[in-house]
Amino acid sequence: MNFLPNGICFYLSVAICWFSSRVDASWWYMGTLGSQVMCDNIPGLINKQRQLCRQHPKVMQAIGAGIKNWIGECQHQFRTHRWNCNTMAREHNLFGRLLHRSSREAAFVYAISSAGMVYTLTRACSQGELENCSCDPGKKGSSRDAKGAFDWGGCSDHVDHAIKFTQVFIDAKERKERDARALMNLHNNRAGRKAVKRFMNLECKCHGVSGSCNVRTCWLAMADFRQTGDYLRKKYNNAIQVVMNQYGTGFTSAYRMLKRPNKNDLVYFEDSPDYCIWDHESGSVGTGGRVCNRTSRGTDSCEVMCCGRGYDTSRVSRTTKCECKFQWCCAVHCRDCQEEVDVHTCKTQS
Amino acid sequence: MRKPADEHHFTMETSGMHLVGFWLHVLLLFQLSGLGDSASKDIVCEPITVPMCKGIGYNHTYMPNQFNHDNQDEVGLEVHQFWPLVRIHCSPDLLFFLCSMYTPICLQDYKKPLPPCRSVCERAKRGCSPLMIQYGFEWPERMSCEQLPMLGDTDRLCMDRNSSETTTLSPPFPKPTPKGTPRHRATAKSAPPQKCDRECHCRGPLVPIKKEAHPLHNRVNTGSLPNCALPCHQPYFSQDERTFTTFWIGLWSVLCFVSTFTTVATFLIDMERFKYPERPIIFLAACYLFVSLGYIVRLLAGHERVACEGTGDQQHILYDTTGPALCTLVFLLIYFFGMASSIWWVVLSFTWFLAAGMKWGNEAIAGYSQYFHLAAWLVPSVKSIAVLALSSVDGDPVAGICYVGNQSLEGLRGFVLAPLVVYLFTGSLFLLAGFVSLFRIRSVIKQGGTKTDKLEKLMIRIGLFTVLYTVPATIVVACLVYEQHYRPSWERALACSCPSERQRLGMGPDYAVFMLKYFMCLVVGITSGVWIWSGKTLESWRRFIARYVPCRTRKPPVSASSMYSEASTALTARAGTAPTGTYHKSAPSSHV
Repeated sequence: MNFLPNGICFYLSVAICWFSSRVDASWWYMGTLGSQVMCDNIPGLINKQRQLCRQHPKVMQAIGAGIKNWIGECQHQFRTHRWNCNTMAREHNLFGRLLHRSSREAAFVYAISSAGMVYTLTRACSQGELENCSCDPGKKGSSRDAKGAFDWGGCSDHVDHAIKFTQVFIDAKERKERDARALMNLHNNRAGRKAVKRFMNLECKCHGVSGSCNVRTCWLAMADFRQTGDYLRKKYNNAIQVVMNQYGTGFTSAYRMLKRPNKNDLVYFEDSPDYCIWDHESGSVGTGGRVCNRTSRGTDSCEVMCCGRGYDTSRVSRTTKCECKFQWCCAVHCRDCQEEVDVHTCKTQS
Repeated sequence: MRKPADEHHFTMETSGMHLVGFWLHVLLLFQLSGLGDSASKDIVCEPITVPMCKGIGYNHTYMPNQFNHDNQDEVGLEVHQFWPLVRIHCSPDLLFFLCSMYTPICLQDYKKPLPPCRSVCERAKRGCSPLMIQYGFEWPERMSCEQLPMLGDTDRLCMDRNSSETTTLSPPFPKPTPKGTPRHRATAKSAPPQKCDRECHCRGPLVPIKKEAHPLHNRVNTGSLPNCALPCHQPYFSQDERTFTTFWIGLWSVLCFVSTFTTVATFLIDMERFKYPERPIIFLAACYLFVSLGYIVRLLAGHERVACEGTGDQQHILYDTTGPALCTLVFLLIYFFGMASSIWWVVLSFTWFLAAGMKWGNEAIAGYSQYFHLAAWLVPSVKSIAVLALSSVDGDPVAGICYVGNQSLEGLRGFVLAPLVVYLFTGSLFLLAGFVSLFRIRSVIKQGGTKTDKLEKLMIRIGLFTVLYTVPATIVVACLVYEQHYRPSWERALACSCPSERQRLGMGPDYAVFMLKYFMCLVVGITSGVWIWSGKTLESWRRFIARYVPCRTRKPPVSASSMYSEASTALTARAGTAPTGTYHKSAPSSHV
């Protein structure tokens, strides 16, 4: 009887030691080789990109986290367009074969993805998520604006650092090739990066007695990414079709009467398809099943969106909050309003 | 035909490879990051921790607010600057308005901004802005009401009470305390409320002399009450007024000391420069130097040690004393040298009369200087000895000095008022006669075509000094007349009425009259310095310093310095001679 409990304790001790050792080994393996495994398993990266990936694993995480933001912005900008920046998860890449064609839409996607990466990295820097970057070190001392003098303080967004890294990382592959498409991508990537820098707001905090603004501390902050998206959408509308010059070093306008592109313009080579029907070759998914606006005169009108194929109408009941009122003190009370609306959907191709 | 096809195929293949590579990377990162990442900046409600804004009606806020405050600690530092304004209750809406701006309301089910309505802001501003302006602050621009939504705006919701309340009127700003209030407060505090007793007796703050062994027994009375003494301090003046009196006397006595010391020092280093008839000004300044010293001694020793006797409740002002050394010292400094300065002023006006009216030269006037000194020092000596012999030195309950006449009207009239009136009258007569002569001389000289600039300049300086002396002297005489006239009634009121009645009837001395008297007693010493304010003074001091510094070094340049000194002396002598000659010239013209 006395021998049995001692034996059990002995075996339990041995088992615990063995399990602990196994767990430690696993964590050790994961910790040291995790980033390398991740970077090596991304097909298509060139050596320089893999090298940057291994050196800056946190940067890669930040870039991954920011993809949803710029894709969402792209879909917002083209929500009333036949091509609505849709992504296809089943394909190897997000946009399918759309980007095979050197079209306006490809130009916009390259520009806004570059802008999105700059935006994401700058935000991560300012919030202290990345180790080798911080607030803009150049913003020191005093300066002045229309309202008077102020001191630099707070955390000014260090956009230049993010632009530099994005340029090195994204453009690495394009710089290995010297064909027309590579030049187009380089141009549109740069236009996207520069767009972020155009929307920097000077934000200030007042210091003074009784709410006065005798002393101000200010910092530069990026505006909401929507402003960059709106700006690039205008550039998309005014994109310039170009051809390679005879030396293969730059662009010239495809039509003599149009202006030559500057550094802020988006450029493309090929005309876009109409995106009306599903076409595997052009990457178009068609507009069948899209919601359209019967009373609109724009690109989301049923005539334009459905390419003349007609539309189906269904009645949908919708509940919204209306007649909100403030009640002292303190609550907001809204009434639930029921309304029935007609939803028009494009017919699929026959 | 085949070549173009092959080339095109090659191009497309290359482009496809590029695109596939890039977007595979993007896709993989996208999957790794996870779809659930919520990067959008949602408002996060947090409980209000700013003490001032707890309990205003809602409990949650979000940061940063519209003023870019990152956390509630920053908000607290700034919003608490308005706490005095909130406490004064200039508007019942101010606290809610401030907190709704600094700690904006955060509702879980309503994501739009919910600021205070414009009407709330305007009510707070209407009530509190006048008060802020009185303190030198404007209503903050970043809290302007125009940027806030109107009540009832369907697009922008805002917070306000549904029922409009009557706006609280701006509270009247408390005015500066009237002059009488401190006295009333002191009186009320010292005398508990009781029926007004109009019987005359030695009541507080008067000091009764009860013991027969007391030195003042049967020797002192106040308001015709025997064995009743005045307290150490003037009972009609409050503690604040007493403190200010000390400051006032200290200010003018120090200024007087500095000014007269400068004058006397300048005279000592360059005696040749000041001849009769101007020389008495120097002696007058020297007298005021010692008068200011008397007041400074009082400041250093203190009111009680100089002018009072006894301890605790039995402390009273000094009466008919010759004993305490401090009291005697202060009395001699102020009385003896004060009277001497008055006589020197008479001497000044007399010598001026001799020079201007009788055409005496400065040498002739200087010949009588010994008589001037005899009169100026002997007469005050006799009077001081008389005061001491008659035991007429007493304490001044207002200034805290020892003087004559503070507790005895006979002493005040005989030893202070009468001499001052005689001196003022005599001196003014001499000055007036001198001026009449100078005007006559000036008109005669002008007819002769000779320049009268120098004469006019001298007349202006004499005239200025006359005004600077006679005006203060006249005011002092007036104050003394006022004091000797009303003092019996003041003392009688202390014995026969209660504090509330005294205050109601306005009995008691005028504080300003006493302050004016002490100022005028010392201002002559300050203004006597104008006589030396000129380029000559700088020259005198420069010469003095130049003469003094080389003496330390025994070097050959000493002889050079001596030669320079001789040259200076010669120049001075020559300059001294010229006016005499000029004056001598004018005499024949006048004679003609």
